[in-house]
Amino acid sequence: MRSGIVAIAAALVLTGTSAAAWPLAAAGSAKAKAGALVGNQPTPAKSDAITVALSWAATPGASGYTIQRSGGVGSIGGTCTGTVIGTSCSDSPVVPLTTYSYTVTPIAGTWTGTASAPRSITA
Amino acid sequence: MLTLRIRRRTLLAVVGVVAAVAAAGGAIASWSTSTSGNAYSKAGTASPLVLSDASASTSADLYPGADGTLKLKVANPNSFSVRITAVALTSGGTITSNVAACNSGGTGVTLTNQTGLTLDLATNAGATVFSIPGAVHMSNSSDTNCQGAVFTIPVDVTAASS
Repeated sequence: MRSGIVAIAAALVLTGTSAAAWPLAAAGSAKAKAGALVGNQPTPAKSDAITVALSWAATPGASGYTIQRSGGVGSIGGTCTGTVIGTSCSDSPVVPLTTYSYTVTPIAGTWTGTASAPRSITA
Repeated sequence: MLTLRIRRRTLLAVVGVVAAVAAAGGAIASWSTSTSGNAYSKAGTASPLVLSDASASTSADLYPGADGTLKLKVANPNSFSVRITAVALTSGGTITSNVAACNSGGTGVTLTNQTGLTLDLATNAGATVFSIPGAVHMSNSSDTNCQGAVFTIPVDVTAASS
């Protein structure tokens, strides 16, 4: 008898507690913003007679980089070919006393970022 | 005799509890159902939360292959505090951006529905921006024109008075 009364009272208290939580709902819109990939200018340095070493600061969100070279003949080589993972590479071979200009373009997925400003070096 | 006295005391206590709960329940019931404009219904009428544009406060942190932060700008016009507990993509809703070429090329953006949130809004709180890190994902297939875009994500927000 007593346990039955206590059980009823407990049930009422629980009912009172749940009724206090007033449910609300709203529909609307939230936001998210995409970043943009912008390349950072490389720092070129001669590492030997036929090699230029390049390094640059990482771009937030980039998964890799492509390096462009102008000046001289031929195309970029060494570890700077294709997609570079990381923030440094070596262009080889280069022709001594030839001036080369380099830019760095970040990439991520299908995104291609904005190329950095060029920086030159005479090999 | 002693047993009878204890039973009477217990019974009185239980009756007291029942009466208190019933009174509270009555007050709550008039909150939720009354539309007649009396004092109780005015104090207790629940107004929907207000969601507004959060683009001004949106930081750029969404990149292909990565998770980003969802920004939710919401106000509570009620005379009681509330707690937001869930945010979900509106059924049938589509995530769009402010860049047409991004939309046509594919945003690659998805929302992971959020539950178990504890985002608190005070009584009559003005527009407040909440950040939910990791709620938004951008796939590697996101179009390159989506760089710098702001995405609008239709959501349903669930909350309760607190």
